[in-house]
Amino acid sequence: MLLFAQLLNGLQYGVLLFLLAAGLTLVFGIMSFVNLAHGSLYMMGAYIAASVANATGSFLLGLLAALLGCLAIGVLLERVAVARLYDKNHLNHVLATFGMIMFFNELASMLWGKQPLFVSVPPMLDGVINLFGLPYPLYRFAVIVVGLAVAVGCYWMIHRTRLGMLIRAGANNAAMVGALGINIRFLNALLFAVGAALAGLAGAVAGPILSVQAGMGEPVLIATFVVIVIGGIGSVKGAFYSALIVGVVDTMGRAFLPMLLREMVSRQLADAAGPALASLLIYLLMAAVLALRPQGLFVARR
Amino acid sequence: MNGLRTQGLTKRFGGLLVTDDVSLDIRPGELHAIIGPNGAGKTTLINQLSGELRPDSGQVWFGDEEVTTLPLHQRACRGLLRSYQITSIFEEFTVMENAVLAAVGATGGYGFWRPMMAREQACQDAQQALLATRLEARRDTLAGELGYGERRQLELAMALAAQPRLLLLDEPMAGMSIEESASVVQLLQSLKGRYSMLLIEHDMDAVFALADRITVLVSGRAAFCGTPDEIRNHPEVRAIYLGDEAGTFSGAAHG
Amino acid sequence: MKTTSSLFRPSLGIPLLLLLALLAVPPVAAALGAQFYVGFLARVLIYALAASALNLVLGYAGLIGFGHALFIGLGAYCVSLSSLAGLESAWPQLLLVLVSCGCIGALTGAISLRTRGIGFIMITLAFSQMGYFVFVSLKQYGGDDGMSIIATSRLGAGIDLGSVLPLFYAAWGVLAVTLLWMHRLRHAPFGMALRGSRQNLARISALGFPARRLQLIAYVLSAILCGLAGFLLANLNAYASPGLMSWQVSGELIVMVVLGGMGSVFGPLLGALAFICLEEVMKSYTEHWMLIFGPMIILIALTGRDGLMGALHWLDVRCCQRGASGRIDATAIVANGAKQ
Repeated sequence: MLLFAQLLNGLQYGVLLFLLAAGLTLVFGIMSFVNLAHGSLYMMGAYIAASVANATGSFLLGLLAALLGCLAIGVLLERVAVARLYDKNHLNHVLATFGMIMFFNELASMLWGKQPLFVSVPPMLDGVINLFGLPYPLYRFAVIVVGLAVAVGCYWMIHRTRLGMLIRAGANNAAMVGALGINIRFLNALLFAVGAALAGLAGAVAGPILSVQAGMGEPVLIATFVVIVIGGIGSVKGAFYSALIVGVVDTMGRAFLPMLLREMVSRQLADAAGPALASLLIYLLMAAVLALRPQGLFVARR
Repeated sequence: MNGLRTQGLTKRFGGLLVTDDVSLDIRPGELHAIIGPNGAGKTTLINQLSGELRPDSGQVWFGDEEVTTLPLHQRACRGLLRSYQITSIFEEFTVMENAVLAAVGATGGYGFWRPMMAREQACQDAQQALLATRLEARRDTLAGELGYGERRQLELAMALAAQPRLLLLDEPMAGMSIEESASVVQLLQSLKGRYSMLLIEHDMDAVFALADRITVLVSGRAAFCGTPDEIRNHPEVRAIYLGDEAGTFSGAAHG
Repeated sequence: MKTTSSLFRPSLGIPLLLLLALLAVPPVAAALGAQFYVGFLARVLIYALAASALNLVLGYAGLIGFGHALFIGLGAYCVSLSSLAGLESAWPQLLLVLVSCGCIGALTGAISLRTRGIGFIMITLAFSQMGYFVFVSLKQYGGDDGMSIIATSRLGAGIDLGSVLPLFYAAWGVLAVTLLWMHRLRHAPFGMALRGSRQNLARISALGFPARRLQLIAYVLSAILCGLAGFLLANLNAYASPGLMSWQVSGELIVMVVLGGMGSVFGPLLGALAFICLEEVMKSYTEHWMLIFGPMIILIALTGRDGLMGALHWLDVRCCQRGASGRIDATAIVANGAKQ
């Protein structure tokens, strides 16, 4: 039972990572833009959702505010800074987005203070759902559902719409798409903004589960990087599968590895090494994938 | 000077057979040209010879040694050097530095303290290469400031500076004016006998003027091989080029 | 077109002067009763060392490594863990730094170099995060709070690196030697091949250089130098914490290298000095200094010039023109000089 619960928790973390990874991998793959500030968008989403929800009492309103807010921030960032960086090299991207992280972290602590912000689970989702005999928190289950719904939506958009076709074409050969007369600047802005909105959604949804504070974006961002590297840069399908894998491996690892270690080595060693090893698991996974298949599990580009 | 031999070289990209059972024989000291219509697979072939691509099957022999799976840089150290169709030089270094770097690279240059330019042998080799390609006057110019023709010359100079045993020349005259092409032909003529050379070119005048033997590549196959006269008068070869460069063969007779 | 090779050109003279002036800081500070500056500038020297190490990978080899803070932290923990185990002499500690940073540098470097571009940035970042999490989880070594070092490294002959003065001179000495070596390396075969690989990776291999191996060697060397910086930092602060391995530190190092002038010899020194001094000045004005510092970094990224060394090279042209000896192509001089 405990195994099943942790598996579900892993799935929930996984869909959260997918929400972040989907936008990021497209921005990486199509615009070749290294966006370290994606975690900051996640953080802003969490803050906006939390403060609006707390102010109005409606979680849904908070969610909506986060979506729109992050969409707006994404558009603003893209027009002001990101668009000027496309033709510069990756180092400039790294520097610029590093500066953005600093700015947003400081902004957050200035606007909302240094203490973590607390937002409660919406009453409608505050309960348990019975899954195959396991009572599981309804909210977390809802997160899984929403995440999977977004994944399905992404799939539909990418494979069934004209926009999606442009995205797939762009992932394959960005220069050609521009040469074909498509307004590549609009496409880029749109992609960046949608990615930002998804990150904001992830933050909003994560609020009741994780703590909302300045700097919350970066640890999740790095896990997202691991997801993208494993899944293959530019591949949303890759991001989906590897997000779930990473989410499950990380969650189950943290839950069970220390316990497992205690069976094998002395209690002292297990208590010391267990948590450290558990937090290393996803990086070891990434290193293994890179050692065997450097381009990731799914390749978006030829 | 080394010879280069391939045996049954085959390469597929997906379902496309790009190199089809190619067996070449480049004798030491000869200038062997490879010609063929566009899409015949010349670049893929040369990539397998220089080490950038691995063939699916077949062998490549350089001198007495089989080098089929040897990585790019090790082939260069053994004297199998290449110049590129798309100019590939170091724009932030001077012309001389480019050449000396090439000379040092072929000798397996490591060194963490003494300046590269203090290596006398390498500098001499580089100097000679620059003299041969008439870039001596520009030795202190940044490579990034060179004109197109001069860049192609530097491309060649770098291959020469490395004291090659065999040169793979990938369309050295690509994009050149008539005068520039003529001077490259002169240069290659002067190098004949000193190095073995494999020349891929579209410029038929140059090919017929320089080559000791010619191989015609058609759809990945080495279809015909012979002396320039044999190739020029071969009915099937003329048929391949007919309509495209019909005047080329009779024109080259004056070349 | 050669740039003027006068010893007194700004791009060489000013940084050299700065380096020499730093030597005078301890006695001057003592005389003025401003001891704070010795420790402060010691920190600058140490970060300049770390930035130089990164410059080898970033500036010379053109690889964007976002995980160099890992090795700073490792170096620091070598000191704290040895001191915990009763090993106080600096020399075995240094050997430990060499071995640990060398091995982990080789391992992480070999795996990281299997990727390129964006992948390389992310994986180096991930590796430094790994280190961070490992040390945060090791509660018996202080975890998140870090470890304070009771007994700092002893160099022998009664010199204790835990006190500011010997540490300052040690840091200065190591930095000076490193800068000299970086200068020599620029024109040595290894350095030229490395710089070539930044411009044209494929051609370097085609010339006979084992490109990936060269990159790995550069990575390991820079890891060891960063470890050395960490060793010094641990002695300066008598403290080692996982925070030294954080991505923020890696990012700050990148800013220092770019700010100073990527790929130049003195760039890291100028960049570290400018960055740390600016940070200190801004901190004294407002606690929300990052709100301004962040956009400043964004601006640096947007304008993408050659940093402070680029400005000095521009000064070279303005101040040191020798008009009599024929035509001077100003843009060529700047381009040539800025790349040197």
